[in-house]
Formats: sequence, structure tokens, C-alpha cells
Amino acid sequence: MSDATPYVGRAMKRVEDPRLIQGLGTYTDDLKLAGLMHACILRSPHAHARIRRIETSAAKAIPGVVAFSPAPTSTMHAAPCRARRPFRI
Amino acid sequence: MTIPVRLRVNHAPHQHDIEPRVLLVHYLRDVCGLTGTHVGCETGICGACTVLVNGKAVKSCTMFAVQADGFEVTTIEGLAANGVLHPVQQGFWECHGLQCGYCTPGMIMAVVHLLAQQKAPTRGQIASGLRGNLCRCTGYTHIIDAVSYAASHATEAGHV
Repeated sequence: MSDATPYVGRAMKRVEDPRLIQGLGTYTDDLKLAGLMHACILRSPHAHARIRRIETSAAKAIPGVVAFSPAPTSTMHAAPCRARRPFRI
Repeated sequence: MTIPVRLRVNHAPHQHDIEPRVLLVHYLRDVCGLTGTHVGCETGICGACTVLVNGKAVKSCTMFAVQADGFEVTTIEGLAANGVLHPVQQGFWECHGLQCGYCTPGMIMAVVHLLAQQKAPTRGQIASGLRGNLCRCTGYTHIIDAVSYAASHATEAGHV
């Protein structure tokens, strides 16, 4: 192989690194959009428990709380990713 | 209830009235707008939020902002001096010490503290010095390479 090859066989410095090593990257958590709201996920403190009912009135009464999405609604919007067909190698 | 807090961040004076419950990392990100410091786990495990407080590496999710009153805080944004990368930043770039870059600011700040204490650490000492910082994609070998590079190029003056 020719020594003049610009890329093959050479370590290339990454073009995105200067901003990432100076704290200038923009990750999802760094975005601030107009009307941006924050969500948090409350997980069950009990392993393998059956959820019979979720009492939301106290949570909704907290100032600033906009909505409460119980598990059945959340799972409608966040179904697990499924492969379209079994993988074959 | 708010409490007045006065501190210096990257040599610039800051003064705010903040709730005492505000963590230093959230103060830096949300109040000062310095989003280079990342929130990884919020439990003190991952080290993504590491900054320097009076020159010492601190996980800023384990400290209230009001506790930094009167202190000098250095974040990743304050590390390069006059457009020149800090040797540790240069080392991470040269040695492929990052991929996604999320843990990198915390890694770099922890390394700055480490090299301030140990000018020429062994690979084992580097690994030990970074035991509080987790990386989930690069792997630690290149990060240790980056620190070794920084240690051997850390002669430039004017850096933290």
C-alpha cells in the first residue's frame, strides 16, 4: 500500500472531539425548548407485584404537576421494540 | 425559601438566591447555563458530574450549591485557556479517549485533579484514580492512554 494513502492504515483524529472535550456537546438533557416539561418515572418498590390501582389525586394536587400517566397509558406509547423476524446469521 | 450564594465559576463571579436543596450540578447547568457538566446517575456513582471545587475533584451531584459558597469552581468549559486545549483534553483527543463523550467532562476533571497530585502516575495509579468515573462505551484502555499522554505533555504553563 502506498505511503500516500491519506486514510487507510492511519489513526484518524475525530472531528467531533473538540466540542465534546470542551463541554460543548448538546445532549438531550441540555436542550431547552419553549414550553418544555419534565417527566419522571415512578417505579414500583415491590418486585413482581401486581398493580391493582394507582391513586393519583395527591400527585395531581402538587403545584406544577400537569399530568399523570398511569402505567397502562404509558405502555401504549412505549411498547417494547420487536424484531420483525427472527435473526438469522 | 432561598439562600444567597456567591462563588466563582471558571474565574467569573456568580451571585444568586437559590433554594438550599439545589445540587451544585443543577446550579451549574440550569442557573449558570454550563451544560458541559453532565448528570449521569444522580447517586454519586458514575462521576459524569465531576468538577473542581477549590482544585479538588468533586462529584457535583453530591454537593449542594450553597455548600460551594465562597469557593472557586472549575468546570469543563473553563479548562481550555485562551483557545488552547488543556493537556488532558488534548490527550483524550489524541488517544481516542472518548466515543459518545457523555462521561468525558467528568473524566477529564477527575484526571486534572489526579495529575495535580501525581505528576507521572503508573497505569495502575491512573486506573485507581479513575475508579469513581464510569465509561460505558470507550473502554478504559484508551482513557488510561489519554491520561498517560497528558502526564507526559503537561508541562505547558497557565493551566489549572
